[in-house]
Amino acid sequence: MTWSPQPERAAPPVLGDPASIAALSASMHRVARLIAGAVEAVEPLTGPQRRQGGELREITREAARLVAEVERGAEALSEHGADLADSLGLAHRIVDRAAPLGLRVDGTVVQPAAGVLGVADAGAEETREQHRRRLQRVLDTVLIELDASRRAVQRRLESGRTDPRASRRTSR
Amino acid sequence: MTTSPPAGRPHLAGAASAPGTLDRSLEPGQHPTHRSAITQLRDLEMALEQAGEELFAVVPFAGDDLTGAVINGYVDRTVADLRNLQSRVAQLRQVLHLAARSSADPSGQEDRR
Repeated sequence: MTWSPQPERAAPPVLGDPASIAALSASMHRVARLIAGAVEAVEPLTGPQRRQGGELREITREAARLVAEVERGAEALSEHGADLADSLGLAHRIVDRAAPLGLRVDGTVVQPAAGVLGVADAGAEETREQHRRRLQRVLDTVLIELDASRRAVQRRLESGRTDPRASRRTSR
Repeated sequence: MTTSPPAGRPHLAGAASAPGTLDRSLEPGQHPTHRSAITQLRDLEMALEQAGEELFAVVPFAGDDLTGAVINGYVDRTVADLRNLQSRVAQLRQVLHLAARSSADPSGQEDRR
């Protein structure tokens, strides 16, 4: 128990809502299926409408491109949502482990908790410092892996996109 | 708009119903495929609209600003593509509708009325 005033609420080491990212991924899968089904139901034009067949083919081609792109995006988001959930769980465990050791996780830093924690003891201080370094290393690993996952999802969402106007121009 | 003849669909093979299915609600003089193609395009249009609305309804919280901006940007661009495609489908549907009407009334009397 500390005798000094309670410190301000610490910032969580990992932020984000994996459930909302998973919900977006599920929506994207659903949307892709919806469009694919509607496109499959469109039959080739016959009779006097054959003159518009070229435009219809371009539309179905563009729809197929969109479906594939949305599926890829959904997959990327799904994987990132799982990584984020793992990181949140691990960060939560680090915060829980830190408290009984007289440590506090504030943002990305593990530090000694504020206030009087007990009788001054050099050995205990050294042990606490060792615990702090170890927890900081684990937290750093979690944050680095989450950062890699974030970079990967950013890259996949940005690189997966092609300019539809460009594909239209090349298809003509 | 291109005027090349159709050569089958390039993607998404496996139509839900057989081509050339007669639509019994046709008006006299209307080609059997006109109405069904228009209906199919309307269904596609509605699917694209619904898709855009559904994607906009979900608000993800990525936890960091850059990832959030990338995800939001991706959704915005995808919805813009969906709307762009939707307007092309609507335009084609309108062309088919006009063609169907003029073939049902080749003299153009309906337009003069």
